[in-house]
Amino acid sequence: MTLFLLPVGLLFPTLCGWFAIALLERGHPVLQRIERWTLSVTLGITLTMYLSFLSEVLGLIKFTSIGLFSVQMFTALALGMLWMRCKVLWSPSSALPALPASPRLSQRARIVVVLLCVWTLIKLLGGFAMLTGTPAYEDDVYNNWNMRGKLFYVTQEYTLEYEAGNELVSSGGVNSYPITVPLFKTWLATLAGDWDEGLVNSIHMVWFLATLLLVYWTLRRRMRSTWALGGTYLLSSLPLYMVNATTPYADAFLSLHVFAALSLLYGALISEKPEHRYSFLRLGGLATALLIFTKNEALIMHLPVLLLLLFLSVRVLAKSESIDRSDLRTAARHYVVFMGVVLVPWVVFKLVHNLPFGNAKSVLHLTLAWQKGVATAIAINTFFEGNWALLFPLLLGLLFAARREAFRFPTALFTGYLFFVVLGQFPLYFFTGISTEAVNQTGYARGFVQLAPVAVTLLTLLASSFFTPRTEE
Amino acid sequence: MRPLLRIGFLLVLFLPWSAHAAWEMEWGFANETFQQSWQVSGEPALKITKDGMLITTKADSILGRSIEASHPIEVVSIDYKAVVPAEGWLYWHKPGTPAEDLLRIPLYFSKTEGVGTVGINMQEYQKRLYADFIGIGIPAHAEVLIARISLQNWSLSEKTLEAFKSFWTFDMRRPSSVNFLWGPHVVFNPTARKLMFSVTEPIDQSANRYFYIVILLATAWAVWNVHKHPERRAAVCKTLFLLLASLWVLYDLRMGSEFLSYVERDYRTYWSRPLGERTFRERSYFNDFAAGVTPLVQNRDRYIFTAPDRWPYLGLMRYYTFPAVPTHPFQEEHYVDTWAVYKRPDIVQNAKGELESDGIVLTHPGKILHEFELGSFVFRETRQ
Repeated sequence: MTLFLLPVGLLFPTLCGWFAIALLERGHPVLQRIERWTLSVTLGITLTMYLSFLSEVLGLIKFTSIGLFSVQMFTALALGMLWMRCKVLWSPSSALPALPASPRLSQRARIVVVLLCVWTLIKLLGGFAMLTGTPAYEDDVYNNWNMRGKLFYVTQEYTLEYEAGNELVSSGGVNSYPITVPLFKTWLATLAGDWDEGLVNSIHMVWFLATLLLVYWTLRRRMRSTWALGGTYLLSSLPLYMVNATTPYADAFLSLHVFAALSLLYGALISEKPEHRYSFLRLGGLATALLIFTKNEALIMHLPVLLLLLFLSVRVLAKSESIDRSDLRTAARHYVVFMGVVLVPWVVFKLVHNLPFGNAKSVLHLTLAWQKGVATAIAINTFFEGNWALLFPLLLGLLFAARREAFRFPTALFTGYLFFVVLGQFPLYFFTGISTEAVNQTGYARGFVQLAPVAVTLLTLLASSFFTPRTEE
Repeated sequence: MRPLLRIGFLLVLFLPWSAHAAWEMEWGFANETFQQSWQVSGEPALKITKDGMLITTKADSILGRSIEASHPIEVVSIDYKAVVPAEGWLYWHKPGTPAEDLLRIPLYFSKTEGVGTVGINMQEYQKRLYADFIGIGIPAHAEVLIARISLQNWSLSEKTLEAFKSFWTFDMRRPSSVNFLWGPHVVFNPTARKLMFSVTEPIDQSANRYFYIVILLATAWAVWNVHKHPERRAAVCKTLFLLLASLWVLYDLRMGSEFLSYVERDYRTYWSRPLGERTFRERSYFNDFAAGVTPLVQNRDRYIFTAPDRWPYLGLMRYYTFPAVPTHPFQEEHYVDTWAVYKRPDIVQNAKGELESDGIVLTHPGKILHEFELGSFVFRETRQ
């Protein structure tokens, strides 16, 4: 069993993430302990893989165990020393933001919670067994995510082209994706000294658990623990999300980064103290920047919507006089600098190597024409299959029933995100050749997997607002 | 509330659970039985045998008969034998329409070993199908042996049981499961249950519809109640919330059980079986084949790979054996001496040691490095 190498492989990326978060909080911590470690793993992996990419492209390292480790160690040392230096300069740490009280549950309710937790745990264990114990199965595993990881592992460099068999050369297409997912697999394989299917896939479970934990803590900031647990349970019980999160694909991984960026912005909106608000905004800037280095959709679909909502959120904060102009400029500078650091090198690299910006298909040369069958396919996928349990009818119903809450900041952050991204995709499906992704039921639902944590968080916020007796508010 | 419960209980008791007993009309052709009233068109050759009626056609033919349109037909079931597959039709005539207006749907007689059965769920085409003529169309130049034909429908209690069973019938894990899951289906007869998840027609069978009906009714009840008694809002909301939460948990139990059934199947067919006996989902033993081939081609840049289908095997082989790359058999620029052959029993080694397929020599002489089964092996030419 080489799975014990997973925690070894996570150690330094997590440390890097932890130091980066601590530096950005600047003595005003806003994250609960488990949430901090969860974000440390999430952002630390993507950060170190991005730096490894830069180092390799600049000719500083090769994708070997020593090369990848040196990036992690150097980053951890640099961030760690900076953190220790800054810690002395910062004023004494302020207290963590208080969480809403959680009244004790009745015995019957406790039994239900325990049973659902046990049931969810069994499913997670089953998913982990399939993830780490079965051979490569789905197309994008052996054609893309794991294949590219193995390619980097074998060639020890950022290879964009390789022989795809039958005299074909694979270039462009999926090679245009950011390499966080395959490169972390390469890192694990270099630790093991072999390409071990179970080990390289095990990281997806970490991302899945991180998403569940982030959803819990995001909700916990606003509501009692039972509701937050309920929201987490909703995400774990979305059938297609469960399948995707326990498959070596990257949509659940992207959903984690989308949610991290959005939930940190949400944290800024609901913070009562200015120093907490700025901590959240700085963290949100880092999460948004690293989102770029996850999948192509992040750049063309998620980032513009996030920036639009950031703009609207800041306007709301400015109007309510919760933020002053100089702090606003500082927060904006963090977003701009962090995003620039990731965006500029990555886009330049893409342009230099003529890599497309779409989801493995270029979005620049699409012709527009009405596509038949898309509406039916979307309706079936959304309402009549088992992909989303009862998420959509309940969400639509609650968007109507709790419309005041849904379309008012801060909850409107999640509502707006869903609306903009979902409605923004529809023209692509209805008027371009990307319609095949909906009609053949290939990529359409996976696009929604990326939004699932946002959707269940919104559902839980609305349900809590609608069903909780007003006297308790 | 209590009187309502009593009335409901009595209603359940008086439901006609056995009023519509399962109805079946059956014609057996085995044991040299000749069934009266069956007519043929297209002049096929008919031969009554011990196994059934052998129909040999030169032109498109129909074997049919008039029936009483007294019961709706839910399933047509045909026991048959076919050495060569044939694409036929099922015909019927609706009472009250012109005699020449026969309706038909495709009917596929796949190749059988022994007697096979093809079942057609007529409810896919018409909810309540009454017919006064039923017939089987056999295409030209085909030979099909018909052993039994039956028309069936089921009683309310049987349908209820089937609906329950179908809700808890799980799909298998497929490559497409990462893109969509059929979800729970509800059908009302065993044939439809057997065919679930095999055709792209999900709306009519989707159990989601029943969930939505309950949600709509409960919401309407809640809105009406709150409108009528605003002071009861909290209690009504709580009841509605509990109902919705229960529906969600029920859905999760269904889909979560399906998810765990994937694990159970992998355990039964893959993890718990020894190497050589284990299979992985619909891919049979391919993964073990690929893992076995890998060390044998690691010192080669390329090797020839052939399998019955390109997908998914070529991509998987490239992934498993990389940096050794699979390529096709017709090489002009490169000399490739190693062949990985998967499930191609037509490719054999001849007496000279060459590989050949249907008499065409494919390679120079060589030797088989490892044989997994007939038609699956690794071969290397001995020519230097």
